[in-house]
Amino acid sequence: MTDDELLRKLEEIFELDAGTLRGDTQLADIERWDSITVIEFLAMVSENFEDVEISPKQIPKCRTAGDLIGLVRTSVRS
Amino acid sequence: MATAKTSGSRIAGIASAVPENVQTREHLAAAFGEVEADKLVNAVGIRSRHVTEGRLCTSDLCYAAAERLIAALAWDRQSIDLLIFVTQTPDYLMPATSASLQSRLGLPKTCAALDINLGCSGFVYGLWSAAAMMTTGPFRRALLLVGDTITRIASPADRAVTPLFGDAGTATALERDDAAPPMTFELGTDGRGERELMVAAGGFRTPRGAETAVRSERESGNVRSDEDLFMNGAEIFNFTQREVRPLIQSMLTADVDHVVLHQANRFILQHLAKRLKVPDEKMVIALETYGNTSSASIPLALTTGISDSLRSGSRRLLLAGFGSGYSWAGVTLECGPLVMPDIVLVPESAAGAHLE
Repeated sequence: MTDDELLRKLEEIFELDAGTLRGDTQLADIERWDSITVIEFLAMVSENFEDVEISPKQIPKCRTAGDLIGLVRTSVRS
Repeated sequence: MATAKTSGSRIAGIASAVPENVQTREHLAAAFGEVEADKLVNAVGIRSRHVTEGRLCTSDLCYAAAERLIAALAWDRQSIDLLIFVTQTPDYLMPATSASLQSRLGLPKTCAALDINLGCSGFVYGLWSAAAMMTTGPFRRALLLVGDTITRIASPADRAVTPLFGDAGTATALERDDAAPPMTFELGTDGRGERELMVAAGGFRTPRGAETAVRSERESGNVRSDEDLFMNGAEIFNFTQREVRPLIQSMLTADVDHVVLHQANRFILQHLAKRLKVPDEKMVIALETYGNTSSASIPLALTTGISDSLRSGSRRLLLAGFGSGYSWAGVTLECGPLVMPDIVLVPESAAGAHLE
């Protein structure tokens, strides 16, 4: 899955119009970024990346949508 | 994971009881605002919940369920020789609530009784305990009473728990039957998760005090005290992926008629169903008007979600509970037709009626 495809998945979770979310979009500016969509994000990753497990402790360190994508890329289960 | 097989006992019937009082979306709107209330209801799939107004204990609910079940089965109380009470919300720190229930239900003094302190895995653990004791012991009839009143330890200003939890007590009757088909259990534990779903204060590690009672703002703006239930939803989600999905996968066969998991919330149940390819008609989701009732959720889902099926014939079930500990347990079994009385609505005035 490319970064762009991941952004489209995040748009679905955050109920944003397609094509409006960018890598540098601040999570704090997204109305639907909350404890519910965090779990929806984990579920989306679990459905699409069999070998990835994201530690919830890392999520508060993410500032942008791009940070979330970076977290997916670096959270391959050892 | 420990695998255990029991034989020689069967489930005869199941009954459930909930508080009469109901909370709806309006309660969430009052606490969190209209927009947030809709978000919460949609995310967890829970429209309303039966919630004690603050006086009913789990034992009151289990007592009501047990009375209804004993009457429906027309069991002689003298023939009941084992009582297991599973809860994380007992009457007292001591004595065990099972002793109180033995007396309240008029069971004989020859009845063995014990409490088990487990949450959402508790029904399956309790069933394994009862069935295993009946395999080895002289027991003829057992009552497995399972329930929780989690709303009494949930902060109304914590959006991670308040929209989810309801209260319920259940009674399951087991009977010795040498011809009964075996039950196969898978049991597991990972205590590294102890802090992710817990009530930190009120035991002996952190006794109650002036400070533990103070509610303050914690993560994500949620307000609670150390005497309130804390749940780390994201960690619990990962736990279900890591342990619960493989557990169910290992037990799931084509001949299973109904898959009944701990009714945590609709989102997690639908996610597990999708990942495990469990068809909708087999996956029981019965929490829309009861919420997550902790240890009671599996028997409550059996009595409210598929009672017609279980009353009418023999069914093959896969049951799995998972939660605080972390603790998890699954079972495959064949049971039915079962005696299943209609759900009992318990008024607040029934709280501690035996004490008056």
